[in-house]
Amino acid sequence: MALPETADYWGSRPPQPLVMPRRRRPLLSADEIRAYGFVAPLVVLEILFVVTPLVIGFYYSLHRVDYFELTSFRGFDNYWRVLTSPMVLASLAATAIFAIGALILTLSVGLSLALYLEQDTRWNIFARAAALVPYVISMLVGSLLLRWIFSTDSGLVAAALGPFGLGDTTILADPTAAMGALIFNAGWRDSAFAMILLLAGLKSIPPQLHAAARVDGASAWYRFRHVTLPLMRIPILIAVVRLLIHFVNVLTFALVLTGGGPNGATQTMGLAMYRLGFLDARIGEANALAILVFLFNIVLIAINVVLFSERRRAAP
Amino acid sequence: MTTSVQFRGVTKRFGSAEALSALDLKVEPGEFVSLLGPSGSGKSTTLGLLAGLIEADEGEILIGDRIVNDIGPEGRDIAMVFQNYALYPHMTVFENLAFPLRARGRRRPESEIESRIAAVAHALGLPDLLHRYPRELSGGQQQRVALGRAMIREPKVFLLDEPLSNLDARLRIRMRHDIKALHAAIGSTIIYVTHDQAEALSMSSRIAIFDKGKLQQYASPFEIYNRPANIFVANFVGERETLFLDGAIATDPALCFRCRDEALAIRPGATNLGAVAGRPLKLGLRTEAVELVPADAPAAFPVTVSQIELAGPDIIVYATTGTGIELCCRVPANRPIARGDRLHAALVPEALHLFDPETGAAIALPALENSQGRREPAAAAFAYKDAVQRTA
Repeated sequence: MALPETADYWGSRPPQPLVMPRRRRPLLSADEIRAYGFVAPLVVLEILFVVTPLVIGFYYSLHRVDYFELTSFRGFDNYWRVLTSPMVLASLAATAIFAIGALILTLSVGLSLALYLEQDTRWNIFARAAALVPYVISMLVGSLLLRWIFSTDSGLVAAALGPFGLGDTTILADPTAAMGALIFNAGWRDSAFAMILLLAGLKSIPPQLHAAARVDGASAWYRFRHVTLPLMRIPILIAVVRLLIHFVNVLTFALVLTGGGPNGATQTMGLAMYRLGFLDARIGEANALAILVFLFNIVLIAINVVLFSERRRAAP
Repeated sequence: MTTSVQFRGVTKRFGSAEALSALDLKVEPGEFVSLLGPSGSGKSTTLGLLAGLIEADEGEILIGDRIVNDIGPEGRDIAMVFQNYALYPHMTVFENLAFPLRARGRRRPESEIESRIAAVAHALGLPDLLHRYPRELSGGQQQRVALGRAMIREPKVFLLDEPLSNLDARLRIRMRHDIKALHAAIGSTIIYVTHDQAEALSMSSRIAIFDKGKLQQYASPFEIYNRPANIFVANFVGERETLFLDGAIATDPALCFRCRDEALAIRPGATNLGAVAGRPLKLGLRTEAVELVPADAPAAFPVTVSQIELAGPDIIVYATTGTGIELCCRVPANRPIARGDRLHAALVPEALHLFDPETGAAIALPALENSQGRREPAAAAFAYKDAVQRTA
């Protein structure tokens, strides 16, 4: 008996693999084109003003440059010159002293302000705004103001110290005092920035934890040591790295307040770069130093990024 | 290791709003008292005042014989469990449990801390979790760690602030049982804040019920449920909303409640409702105050079934009277009732709650003469259940 034709349909002919007609996918979908359109302006600006100078700077750093004229190829010789130059090494030491001193001052003042102004009372909100003033005004103006305040002839400091017989104290002319003034300048301006970062960290600690700790019998100091500080670990580290990046690179404070003096005592790396490039017109070496500082910055930024993702993960 | 707690005329204002007004409350040593009320009623403020996290504007707070108004939470020898547990996220379970022992000034030997933690962890079923961090625990486990942290110091007073509200429904019922067992075992005074009337009814030795910053009633759960002091209490306690009807009791021709031109018949019972006949009233009806009865029962009024809900072994029947009053009653689920059925109902006198329509306060009935001892209303309602089933 003949089977109906349908019966051997699967038997006689094995099922063929399904082949989809291959259609060319357009290189970019409409959505992707739109997305790139939004990103493009920033990318163009970054390429123009960050990547291009960086590449040019690196290229310059391999050459001897006299007034923007590349005279000969030096390879990594410029780097060697920079790393062995007494002026640069002195500036490295000055930068280290400045950065560490400013970091300690800024963090302790910033943390104190943040702890003191944590509650959202009317006075505290006003005080936070007031503390931010040095941070929001121009860095140049701030440093100029401080230079006047520190000046021997007509400065507020001289006027205040005068009655104690210290009227002729020359703060900006004494190497140690000048470094102190420079660190003070940084602390005066950037403590508010540290305060904002740390305040955000403090606010993310649930208030119930403090209530629980109080009920558990913990004193204010014990709560600070065992609840606040451990939960502030990441915000504090983030503040440290951000401030370090700033203090290693900042030029304005030293340029305006002390001009690097007296006798190079406050000449930081930023200022050394500025001096090499624009005063001594040794553009090649200045660029080599800039590239080295850039690499150091990359390390700091990488730490910052890791810390940020850490905080997001550990968020309570 | 237990003590009394007392509030004497305690008032707390936040700005111009009075969060708590002139609270007088005394908790006896070893009692389990629930502070019950809707949000903003002052119950959490009361707990905060007792913990020392909030300062009183007026009045005195006593723990034992000591006035603690000027003592911070550190010095009050209390323990507290917070709604969101407030476990220290950077510490392991062990360190969380050790915190109250280490924080308090006096040094304790580590061996003592370890043995205490071992004991508490054992009691709460936590020994395997001691080295985990709070974020690695389930809600129920975090809850138990929070309880353990409160127990570890063996405080005189335990404060619990809605500790079960973040758990799922089943776990909540089990934790109710566990906390009650814990109370029986340690015998400390417990003050328990909740907005869940079922929690308060099932766990407490007494309930303090709050509304708008005022204490409404302070009595045993039985008393609160069966003799609510006012309309607010009657409505807040109980699984369902209480139905309130304005009207008056009438005795002519038979005992009934007159309301909106309708006479809702009240079946005979051991109460003296006739004593308040004619006085304008607000009548509070819970499901147990309405019964389905046979059509030929001496007291009955016709109703039409508008909706039914299954509630486990029972069904909840929503029935509408001739003038459109929607009543609600509970009958065994095996009764064949469907929407649209025309049935008869009667009010149960022992389960009726009468209130003054002006003040909202409960109206007390004068005692019946020559009655052979007062039966508890709930018991009376249960006794009549057989009669109800006969109507099937």
